[in-house]
Amino acid sequence: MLRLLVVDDEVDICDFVKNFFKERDFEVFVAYNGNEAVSIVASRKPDIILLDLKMPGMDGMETLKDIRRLDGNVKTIVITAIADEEKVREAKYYGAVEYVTKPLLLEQLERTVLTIAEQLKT
Amino acid sequence: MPGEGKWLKAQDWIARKMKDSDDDIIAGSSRSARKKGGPELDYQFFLENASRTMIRFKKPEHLIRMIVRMIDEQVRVMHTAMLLHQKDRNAFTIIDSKGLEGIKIPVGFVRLSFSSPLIRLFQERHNFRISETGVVSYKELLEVRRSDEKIRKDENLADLMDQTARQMKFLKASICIPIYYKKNLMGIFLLGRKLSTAEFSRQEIGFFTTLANDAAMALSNAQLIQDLQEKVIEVHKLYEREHNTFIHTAISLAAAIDARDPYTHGHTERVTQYVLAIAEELEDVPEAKAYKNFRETLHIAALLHDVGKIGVPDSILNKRTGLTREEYEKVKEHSVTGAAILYPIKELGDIAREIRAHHERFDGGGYPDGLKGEDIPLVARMIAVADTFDAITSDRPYRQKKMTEVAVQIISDNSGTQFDPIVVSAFLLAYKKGKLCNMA
Repeated sequence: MLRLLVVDDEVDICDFVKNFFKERDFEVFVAYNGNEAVSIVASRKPDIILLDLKMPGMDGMETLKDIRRLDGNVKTIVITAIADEEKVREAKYYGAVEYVTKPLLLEQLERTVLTIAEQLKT
Repeated sequence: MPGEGKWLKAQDWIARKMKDSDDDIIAGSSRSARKKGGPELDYQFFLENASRTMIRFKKPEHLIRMIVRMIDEQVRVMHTAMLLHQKDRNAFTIIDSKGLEGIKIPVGFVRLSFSSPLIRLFQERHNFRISETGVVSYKELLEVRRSDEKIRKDENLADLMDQTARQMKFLKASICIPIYYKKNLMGIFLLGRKLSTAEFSRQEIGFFTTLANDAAMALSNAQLIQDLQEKVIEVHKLYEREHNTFIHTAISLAAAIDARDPYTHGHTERVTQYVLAIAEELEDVPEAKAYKNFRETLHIAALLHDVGKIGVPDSILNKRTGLTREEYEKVKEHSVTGAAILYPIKELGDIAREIRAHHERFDGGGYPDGLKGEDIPLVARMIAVADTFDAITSDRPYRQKKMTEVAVQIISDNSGTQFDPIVVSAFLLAYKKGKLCNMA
């Protein structure tokens, strides 16, 4: 079973996404901030991370850098309301594989995650 | 009758909520509803009352929030959400939701584009082939898809229904209630399964449809108001632009008049400045307030007060020595000519009157009509002072420039005879405040 980590300071979003991917046979962890995310990456070794950029305290971009230092293989998908070319480039530079803007199309999120999951399995 | 108590409760609830959000509209309605006979009548009464009051919500979001809460609390479903068309995003997004942890769809998290199956199904009105009411339940969708021969043969529709079913499953929507206004899809209410796992009753579906219609009314009203406000702003901007063009045209015209007469170069501009400075001291005078737009009238009138000089020959305008009686009569015509030029322009009707009178004297000894006192319009009385002040302080072909103090003294000495004493005192105030010096 692939492991997925959801990082978002909004509890409702974490709950919803967690539920959504549990039903799609993922083991799902939740982190409400950057520090929690980093420690889960260290302890649970998720395969895929869904990461929100705008969070109080350590923001998504900082979290992304820390995560990459810990685990160079983890596939991180950035999910954010900030639709900014510069941010996309920055996120990709720090290793994000995909960038999805909120409000998002659920089908697209599912497809993106499942495609990465397929690649990881083979 | 089963469910009766529940609807009575719903009635109370909705009345309370409305009272909370819009105190003046529904006071007492639930009580009077309950007094009226049997439960059927109550229910009807309640719906009528609700729809009548709901469309009065000033902000549709309040109504939507209320409906979502109402369904969540009264119908007891896993979750409820409201998808609303957002013009700026060109998509449908969740604007309010309620429900169980992990099942509730977070506000602002998902969007459905116009190409998404659920939106297409309702937008293209295929939902009316699935159910008479247009309300689509997941169960009914699958059933019709399986059993309806015509649909099975219509590959495109069958495919759309399969995709819709999939999307409803994604969103955990047990039923979808479309919100239409004039056949346009404005939004969709999404409802999860009932906590009791029972099916939705016909009565409940009817109730949801009514709520959706009310929401449509409220949303379209709000949209109309917003459109109207945008239009008003647009018209205002157009007016401003046109008005600016007009003022600039007046300025150009004034400049053209000035340019003909090298000795009075800048005269119009200075007179306009003086008049505006005097106006600042006069704005509270009742006569000034009687003008529809005092500042504007005096601004334009000051700019164009000498427009009639177009009719005065260059030979007279540029004459270095004193004018003959005949020539002077010719110059005097300019106030009448100016008014005649401007009179046909509707917007300038009032201004023509001011320009005609700007050489009248307060004691009645002026021209062209020999008007006296307050029969001379206020703006004309102001221009008279400013015009004379500039004539004295600038170099004219027929006399040397005089000192500002001397000019002020002359104006002051002629208060009550040539000039209106009120305008003169305003002029003196402006002078003391230093508003007239720099330009002279």
